[in-house]
Amino acid sequence: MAAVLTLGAVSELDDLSTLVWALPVAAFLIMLSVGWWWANAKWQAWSFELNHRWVTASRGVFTRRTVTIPRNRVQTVTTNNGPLDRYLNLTTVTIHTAGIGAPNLLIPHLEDDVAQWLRAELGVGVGSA
Amino acid sequence: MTLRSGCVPSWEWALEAPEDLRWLRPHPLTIIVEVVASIRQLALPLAVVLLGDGGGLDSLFELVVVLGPFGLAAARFLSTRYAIDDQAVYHRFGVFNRTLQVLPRRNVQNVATRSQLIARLTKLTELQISDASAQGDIHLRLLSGEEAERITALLRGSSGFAGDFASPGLVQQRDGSVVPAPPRPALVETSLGDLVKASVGYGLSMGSLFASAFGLICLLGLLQAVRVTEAPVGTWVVVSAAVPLILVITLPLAVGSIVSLTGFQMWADPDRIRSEAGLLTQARTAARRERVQIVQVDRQAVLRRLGLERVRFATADQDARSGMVGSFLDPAGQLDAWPLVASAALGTIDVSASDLIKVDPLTRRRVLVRFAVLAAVLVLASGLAVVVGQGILGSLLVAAAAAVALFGDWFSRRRHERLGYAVGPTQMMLRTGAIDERLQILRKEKVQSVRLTQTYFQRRAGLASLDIGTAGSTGLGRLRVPDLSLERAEALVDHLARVSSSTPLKDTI
Repeated sequence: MAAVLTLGAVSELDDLSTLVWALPVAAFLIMLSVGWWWANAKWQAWSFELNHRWVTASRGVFTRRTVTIPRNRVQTVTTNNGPLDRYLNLTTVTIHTAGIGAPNLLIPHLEDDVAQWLRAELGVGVGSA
Repeated sequence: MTLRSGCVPSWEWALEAPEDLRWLRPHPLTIIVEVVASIRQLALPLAVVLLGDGGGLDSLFELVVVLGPFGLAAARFLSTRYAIDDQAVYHRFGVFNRTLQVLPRRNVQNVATRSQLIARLTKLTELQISDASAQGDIHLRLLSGEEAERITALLRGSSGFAGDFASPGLVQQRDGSVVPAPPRPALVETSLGDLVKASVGYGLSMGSLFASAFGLICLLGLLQAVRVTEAPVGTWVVVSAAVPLILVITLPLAVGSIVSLTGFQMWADPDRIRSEAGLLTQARTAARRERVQIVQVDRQAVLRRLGLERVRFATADQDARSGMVGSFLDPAGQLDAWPLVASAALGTIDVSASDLIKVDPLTRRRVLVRFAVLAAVLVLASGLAVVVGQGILGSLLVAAAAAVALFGDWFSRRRHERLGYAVGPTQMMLRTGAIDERLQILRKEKVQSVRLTQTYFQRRAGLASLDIGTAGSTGLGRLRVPDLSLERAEALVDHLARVSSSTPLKDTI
């Protein structure tokens, strides 16, 4: 759509003033389109799985990363809500294991209820698997 | 976000649990301490505001600057709460970004208190509750002394760490009594000659790596300088630029290693590994055997030529690894002698180099593509050089492109030959390094997490890389198996996760 608008504007170009407003609008629309696609692609790529033995989370549009952590290795569960997250009732959950080098597992923007359940399942029930 | 099958939500229980908690706040004097700390940071802006323009608070901005610390401290105090039940410690904080930390009580490794000057004057203390992870510590600031003591006593009693082990250096007899272990001869005694050879060899390997990169840049710079000044230049100029670089990097590494590891001795006690060394400062360290996570054998190219290898290990205890001495099993061992010293840390070694499985042959193609891209860039640059009349530079760049292509072919073959992994009954071995070889042996039960990564190109080729996390990964190289076929990588993830999840937590940090 942005490209069509740009082409249309340029074809109707009779002076420089048209270009002055057409280019920023086109750039904005292109950024909006790319941002929308990127956000959607990231959302599609995020997933997590919790069973009685381990928790697994996948993410990444181009490079896919899947982290698997046995439930009895979970050291700490941290939840984080920014102002926008709180407005939208979302929570980011981070699961830590022992050691500095070990990769942590990040599950961003869960619904509050799901995040609370996940935190409780992993945090309080740790070591019982 | 999708919630996949296998999840068994227990909403009712999860939602009720936090309501039972008795949330507590830090001591009210925390506000004063926080304000003083804020004023200390804002001393200069405050002075400017109060002393400038006649010294009054005559604008909203100045009022905000002066009263800001009070408001922020009060907001922090009001937003911070903590609670402890019989399962976990909860910590909620954050004015704008709210964070809730949950630290299961059985994971508590250590409880420490700290009081800075201002806190001491107000008889308050900061309580730090640590687990084995790097970022999971809970900092409760600030509490009264009595409250800190109450929490400390509560957590020490329930910690999974305390009381699990017999005292180091003791052995249990058949009748159940525990007696001091008899003195044993050292398993490893490193001679000064071997240590010097190994240290210089290690330093040269590391120094050559950096010097090669810098040397290439220096060479191009010198060639450009010769073209501009038209001054004659000999090989000695290039050599004289590269040699100091190698020495600058090699000497400190070698000397540092020699000074700290002179007189190295290692004892393999029944329950621990002890080592001591040091020319000027003598360091003595001990590590419980069951806490050893990884044993790593480093065989840099120069070290292999000298018939030596360096054997190191890692535990989850950060303090035990803080010194060089505490991380070595043998700083200058004979080549291929590692199984003896490794068994002192890991028990009987049940994997060997002959068990190693090579990674997928497609890994060669990935390496070749990278070198081909580099060669193409060099050819392109040579074309540009010829266009602008730099014929000699263009020829050199073409020669460099050819060298890169040939080296890439050799490197990809060598890398595929050397990369491998082996899975034994209780241990796992990884081998990496086309030029500087590295062997890593770990107990499968120590695995904390497994990460499977697929880049865009790996997805197209059906490959995946595995990163294995343990509590002691830091300080040694990362545990990585690159370019496995996806099926094999997923099978390995499943195997490691099953072994790890079936081992009780208290035995695995």
